[in-house]
Amino acid sequence: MSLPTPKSPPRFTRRGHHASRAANVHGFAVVNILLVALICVIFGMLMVFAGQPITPEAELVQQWYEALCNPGSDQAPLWELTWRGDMSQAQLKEAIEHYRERGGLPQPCKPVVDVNVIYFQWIPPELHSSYERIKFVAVNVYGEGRPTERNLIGSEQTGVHVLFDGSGKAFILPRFLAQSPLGIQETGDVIPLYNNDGLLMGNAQVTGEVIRLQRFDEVRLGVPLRLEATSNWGRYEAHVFVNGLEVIPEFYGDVLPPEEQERFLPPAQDAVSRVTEMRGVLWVQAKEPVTSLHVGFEIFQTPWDMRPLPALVRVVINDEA
Amino acid sequence: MRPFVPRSVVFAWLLHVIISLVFGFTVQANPETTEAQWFSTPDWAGNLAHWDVNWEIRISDQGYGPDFSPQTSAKFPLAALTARLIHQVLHVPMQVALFLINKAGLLLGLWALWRMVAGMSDIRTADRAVRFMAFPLLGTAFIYWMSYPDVLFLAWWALAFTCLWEGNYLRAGLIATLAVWTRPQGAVLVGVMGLSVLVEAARNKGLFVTLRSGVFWRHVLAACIIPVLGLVGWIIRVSDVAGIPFSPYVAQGDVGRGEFIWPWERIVERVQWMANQSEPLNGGYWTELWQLALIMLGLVILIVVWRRGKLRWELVLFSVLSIGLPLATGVMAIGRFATMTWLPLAFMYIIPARWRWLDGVLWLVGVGLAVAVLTNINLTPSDWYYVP
Repeated sequence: MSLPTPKSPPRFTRRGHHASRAANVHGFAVVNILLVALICVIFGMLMVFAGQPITPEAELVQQWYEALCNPGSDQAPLWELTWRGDMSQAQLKEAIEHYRERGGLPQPCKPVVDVNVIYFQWIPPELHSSYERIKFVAVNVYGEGRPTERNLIGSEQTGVHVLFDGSGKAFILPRFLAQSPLGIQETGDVIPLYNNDGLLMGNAQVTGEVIRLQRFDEVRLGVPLRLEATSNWGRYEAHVFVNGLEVIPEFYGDVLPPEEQERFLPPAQDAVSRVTEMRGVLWVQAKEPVTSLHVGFEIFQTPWDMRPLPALVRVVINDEA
Repeated sequence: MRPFVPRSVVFAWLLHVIISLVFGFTVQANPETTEAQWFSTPDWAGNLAHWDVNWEIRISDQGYGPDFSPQTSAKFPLAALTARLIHQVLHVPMQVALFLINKAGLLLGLWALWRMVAGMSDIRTADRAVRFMAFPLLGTAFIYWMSYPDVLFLAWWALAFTCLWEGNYLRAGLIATLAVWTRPQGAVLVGVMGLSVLVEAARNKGLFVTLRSGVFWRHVLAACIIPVLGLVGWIIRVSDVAGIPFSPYVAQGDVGRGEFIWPWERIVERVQWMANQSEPLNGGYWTELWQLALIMLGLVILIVVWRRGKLRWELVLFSVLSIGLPLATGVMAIGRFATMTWLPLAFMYIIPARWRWLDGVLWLVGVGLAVAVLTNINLTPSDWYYVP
């Protein structure tokens, strides 16, 4: 039985099973053997590659967060993995306990690393010699009995940076520590602000000493700031640390006396246009005595940008504060 | 004498490299340009690594797993594995690794296509074919500029068919194995190759004699067994890792593929939907409509050319299935899928010899549309709404 054919289809001018193939049979065999070997090697690598990340940040962050969520569990990951700068273990322990107490996390909680949001970060020049790779890992943190839907915005808020040094050792940098691998700047310094990709977005400056404001038994501290956007910002956020512990700043100016409301600066704002200079005072309610005050800045190029490493400033505290 | 790497291939390749670098570095120099969706990094290589390329970066970095959403096992692994190896060996960012893969794949793909066409006809036709593939009228040349790994698939199917028709069945099968690890359409390639061996043998000896012939079965096995095993092995492994049976194909639902309907029903559905919109439609829909129209016209041309004995039926069948199967599940990205078939070459058959200047017009139209797509999907949170 013959199959129906159209008019003769185009033929190859080099039909292998004729003379040309016979002349090159040895060369053909060698190439084929090499190709078989290559395919076998690729197949083996694919089998391994399929389930293996380059670096184990997802697993490490999961362990770290499980320890953070559950104080009764083995706390070793917190002490071994946390990037803590010049903090002692006692200070780190205090910062973690404060974070738990102030409701930074539901207790008990269940963390789930969002593997969809693990991104390489730009490595600033001053960290090139110390770190080979920096990644941001988003984490969803659920309260017990609460819905467990994936929450992209929430997972970025509770996400952490993971820094790998040249030997592959990992360090986890949470947001609630008054520490930054970029170091701590001083009041009056003009601090360049970069996004997570290393784009220069503008600069920030703490322009003066802390302002102390007491109404009845409430004490508020104000930090005079200047923020300059040299590019469009999707968002900025300022974080305040009192005595090394993160404190939520005031988001609304109406808690302030009328004369202070005019220069109130919100700690976060979306869509800041380029060539904008903002001057104002960032306010935070604090318990005295206050021995140290730090402000951290994070600039996002777009609303969906990942979090950059924080630019941290030590604020001078005058005697009254 | 045929040049080993013809000038037409080198010219087209260099042009694409230059366009890529100009775009990448221009955007790098203007970082205030708003980030697009599925953004990567703002350096030159990152500017070429948005959208699907971003998925490849994620797979290269994280491997596969059950919790990825969209499920990354919809992407086949060869480019991601290669990007990881380049990243680890050369210590370059993933974005640069994928740029290297794209450009190497493009050079290999255009060279393999030229070699294939030159083998079937002549050098002038091969040069022309390279230009029609390099500047497709579909407006999809952006996949040569951004670091899409799809171009590898062009290289694999062109080389595999060439080896098959040269009678080197084992090598055809080995190259097809790389194809099944590159794109879902690799399975189509293997099926068409097996059918090609059957039809070729049956033409000479008749179907029943062929089916009893040991030589025939040796050829079929040489061409098909390794890619089939390679594909099955990959499906088993990644399905296990992802926790989803048949995940490379099931997960296609996560990349805009819907329920299966006949491709022509899908086209009618899209046209009716567009006709019923009261608001003006954005550019992405018109781009897709343009591509659908070209696909229908192109397939008709290919069938006519085959019936006139000027084209091998395997290339027509491969193109029909490679486009028809994804079109049956959705319109999204159909232009990109069609580009990695014989379809972009269909239009060179309809231009008479005395009107060859029209070739240049078609290439310019294709490039112009590709530039529009490139800028709209990469530079702004686009209201163009074309999903590449």
